[in-house]
Amino acid sequence: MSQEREKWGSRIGIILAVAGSAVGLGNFLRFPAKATLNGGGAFIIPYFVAFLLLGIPLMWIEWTLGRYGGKSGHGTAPGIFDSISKNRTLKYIGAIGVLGPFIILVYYMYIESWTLAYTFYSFSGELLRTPDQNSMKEFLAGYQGLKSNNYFSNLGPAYIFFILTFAANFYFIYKGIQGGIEKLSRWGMPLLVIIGIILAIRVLTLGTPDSALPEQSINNALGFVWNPDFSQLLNAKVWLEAAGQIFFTLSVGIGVILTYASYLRSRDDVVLSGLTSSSLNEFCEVILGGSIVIPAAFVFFGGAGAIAIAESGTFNIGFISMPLIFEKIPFGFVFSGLWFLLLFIAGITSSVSLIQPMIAFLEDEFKFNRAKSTIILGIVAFLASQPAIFFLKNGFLDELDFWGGTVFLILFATVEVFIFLFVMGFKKGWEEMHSGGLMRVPRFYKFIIRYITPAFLLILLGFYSYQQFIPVIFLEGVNEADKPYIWGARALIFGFLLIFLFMIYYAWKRNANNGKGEAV
Amino acid sequence: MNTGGMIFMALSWGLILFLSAICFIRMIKTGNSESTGPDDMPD
Repeated sequence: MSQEREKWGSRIGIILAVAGSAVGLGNFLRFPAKATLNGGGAFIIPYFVAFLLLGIPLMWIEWTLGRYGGKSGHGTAPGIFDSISKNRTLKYIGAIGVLGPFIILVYYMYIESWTLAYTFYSFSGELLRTPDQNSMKEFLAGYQGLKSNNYFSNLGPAYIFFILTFAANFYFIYKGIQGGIEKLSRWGMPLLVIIGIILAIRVLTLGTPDSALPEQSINNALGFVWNPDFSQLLNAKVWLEAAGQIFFTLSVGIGVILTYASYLRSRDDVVLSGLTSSSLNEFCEVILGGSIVIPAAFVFFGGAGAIAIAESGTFNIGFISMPLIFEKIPFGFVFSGLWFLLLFIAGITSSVSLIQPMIAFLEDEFKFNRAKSTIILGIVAFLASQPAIFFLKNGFLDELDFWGGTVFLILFATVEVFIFLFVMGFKKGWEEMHSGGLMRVPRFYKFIIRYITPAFLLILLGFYSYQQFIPVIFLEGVNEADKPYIWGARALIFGFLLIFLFMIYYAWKRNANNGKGEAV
Repeated sequence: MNTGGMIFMALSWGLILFLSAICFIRMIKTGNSESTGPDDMPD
């Protein structure tokens, strides 16, 4: 091997990095909305069932496969799958595990930059001068360049914040695993938790802000979130929504955990580390995420208002409802600033993890050094981000999110499980999982990983195919004017897929010619 | 908040805090801070 792969500096470093990858905007925006709309406290039953049967096994499988690949110098799915079996097609299937995070990255950094901008506008006081919901919507639409209005006349500010966010991301990537990602996570995650606790305490001590509306108290707000509606447990959709939430919140199926785990030493633990990073994610999601948005919305807007907010979608909750809530709190600009700073930290610790797989691919398979990989990927990612910024109103970003953030995730998770079970072989995989383990996986997980998790995944795949994939693929409900942009997004993804498949072919051919003897 | 809500909230928070505490305590007990020993795979 021509160059030694980097390693994590400490166990807590990778745990915080994986947790940082998992903790994203969804923990604070998606989870509370899903819980509120799907049975309140009762939602937590299918949620924990999915955590135990789907989330934890997938997490352990990804950590195991990643560390296994790292031993032979591969940090991404094509190389990892190839190191498990010399079947020539497996490495091409692994392309999804690198392309997926890249596609998400292309639009995610732009959304992340909104949180940075809103942090600035909160602390400067500008955001909280917008008096009502319509004004707040105008502010967001103006900022995103969807329209020119009193707040923003063009995309200039949004573009500046995008460039700042982009530069910050690639700076940490350039600094490497220990000097960049690990350092970011070691500072960022504790800061995120501290800010989350401050905001949760502020919301939980709101009492009854309006004495004329005594029913809008924090006690009733918590009841609104947690009082169980057991009838919802008979609804299959609630179980699938809970499974979907677990799936997305843990960042499994993207390919980033594979890459992060590949930088472990060969005898580093994966079982306890995987469980610890998952538990930290759950802390941020259920305890912090469940205590901020919806309880605050209930206290200021009542039950009907909170439901309307929960139904209004992730971005409306984060960028429209929350600032309106903070307007009603003394020193609201501080809490608003902290809220968006929290989202920005959650975003950047996730986005660096999305960049790393492609960097690892260039370093491992093409032997590029860190600087060269960072520059090449930086240029490509910057150019690829432009349509997501300029064609936001035409659904370009949503289309990338659909493929990168949903389809590829579920497909890749399914592929990983089947490779773990049938290509690596369960027996070998189980032994590999326990190599260097600081704890043993309970024996009943043998049955769960072999039968329950794959079945759960296939049901989830079927559910999403029926509910989302087919309508979106056939452009149901899409304006005629937006269809060229949707097809443009698909062409971009398909183009990158073809290029990436060729890169895999070329890398293996080149390495075979260089004497590594690997089949193309 | 009714009794059911309190039970669900307490159980959820308790379970997550318990799991997190167990994991971190075990990690500290096993010498968390530095990544374990040298890599035994030849480069």
